[in-house]
Amino acid sequence: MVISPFFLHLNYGRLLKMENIFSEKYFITTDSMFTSAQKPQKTCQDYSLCGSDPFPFLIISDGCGSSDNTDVGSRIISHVTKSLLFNSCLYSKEYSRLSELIIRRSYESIINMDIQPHCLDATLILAYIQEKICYVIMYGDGHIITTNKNGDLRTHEKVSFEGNAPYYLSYKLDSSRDEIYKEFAKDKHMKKIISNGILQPPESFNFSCFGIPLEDTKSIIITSDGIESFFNLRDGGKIPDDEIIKEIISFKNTKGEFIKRRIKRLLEDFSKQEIYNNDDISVAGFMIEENK
Amino acid sequence: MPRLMVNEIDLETYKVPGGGSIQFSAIRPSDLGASEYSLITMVIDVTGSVSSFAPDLLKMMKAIVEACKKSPRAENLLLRVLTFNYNTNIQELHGFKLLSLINANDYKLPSCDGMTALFDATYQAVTSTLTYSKTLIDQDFNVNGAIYIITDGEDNNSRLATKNMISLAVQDSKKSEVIESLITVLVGVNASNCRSALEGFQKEAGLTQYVDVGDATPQKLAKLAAFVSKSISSQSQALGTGSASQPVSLTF
Repeated sequence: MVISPFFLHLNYGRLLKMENIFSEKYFITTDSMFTSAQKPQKTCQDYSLCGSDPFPFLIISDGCGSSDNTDVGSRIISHVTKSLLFNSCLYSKEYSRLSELIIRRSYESIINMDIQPHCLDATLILAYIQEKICYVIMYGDGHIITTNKNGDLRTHEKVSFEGNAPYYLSYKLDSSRDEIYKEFAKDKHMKKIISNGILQPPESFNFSCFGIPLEDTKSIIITSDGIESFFNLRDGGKIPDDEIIKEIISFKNTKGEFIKRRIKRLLEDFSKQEIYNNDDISVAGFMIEENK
Repeated sequence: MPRLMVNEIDLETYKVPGGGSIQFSAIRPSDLGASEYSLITMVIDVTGSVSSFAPDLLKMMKAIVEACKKSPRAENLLLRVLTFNYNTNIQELHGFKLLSLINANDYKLPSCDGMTALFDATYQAVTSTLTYSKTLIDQDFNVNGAIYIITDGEDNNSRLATKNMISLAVQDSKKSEVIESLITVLVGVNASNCRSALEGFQKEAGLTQYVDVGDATPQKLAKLAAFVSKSISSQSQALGTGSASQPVSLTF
């Protein structure tokens, strides 16, 4: 198990002792939004959900651009995940089993829809809070950003895949696709985790788990890899991730729809500078206040 | 558990920059949760000449509030109500508030007296809206606005503002991006004698629309309530489009 000063990076399958479900020490606001690429414009294949029942949670899903109908698939996967928040394997931290439940139930949802299972080619990030820890389970790629009590950037975890090819849960539905991926992944370090700019030891292309203590944490934000897609229309130059993240966490107001306000204003301000995103973006966040 | 109960939220006092002594109250941005708001102001003439239909004016105000509460956009509306006459000048019944915090039964029959400070009241409403809008926009909110000035007579005693000042304030709002859009509707009630003066005021001050209700009958004031509610709803739905709503037309 790799432990950083602020993170408990968990090997999947390891069980943690579960205490009370709710934390009464903290008041937690959740918010999320998703939006399509601005240039070129197309159907948004990202999706996001958030809520507080049975506990504060965030869900984002990013559909594969080269598979059909993943705008539908990302929504189905997200809602199925939400429906499983009461499931025992979440409480026992059995995230591998959880992923199987998610994809099987998602598949059952589309059986009568005359849509191919490839529509479920989508990443999934689930974040939820129990007691004083935020758990983030990332099936695929994305970002996790945390800020300290002053609102300054504290940590940034970036998970990416070789060839921009994350392991989708939908591969579990088709053994041939699963085999092809595993063959492709053989002898490669498919998954790259960069933690505060430092490359972490390689790990399996399966899901990653992170545990973030709420102590001294102001916000926890999860995003799809779409935030890496901002570019300047004038010169075609990519905007560094650090600059985007700095804008994302510049919350002027942390109540209610704090993510929607920030991202809408970010996109407006960027468009005035002819900076646009060429991939869909989904962002979700917890804003954490200590109950006095 | 939420820390704040809705009915415990106080309003904060703001000063209009460069506006002399113009002040207004409004809910603190930190108490707002949505990503966008329409700032609605009702400016009601309570000079002596409206006393004969003051009860119907009160009913109209209550009807507008109740209609707005039923709107699907109710949670994105902030409402402020002003009354004006020469004696008490401009009185704020309440500042910009969420509809859920407004109890229309708290609106009382106004004491109607004095002469018409129409320009002052309009200027106050416009500059307060723009000041608050800038405050919200600086905090990442999307904002547009609508002001409804309901009067039965032309200006005869403003002390501070002129038509030109109002026009400049309205024009500035379009250039400086302090508000996505602002519609200003002047409504004449029982104002057939000064219709041309009010139409002239609307044009010279750059107001969006003049609506003549005709006689102040209960039926016409009820229709006015419906018109204002529809206009508010239309402007609220236009938020995010970058443009103002199309003027609502109604035959009285």
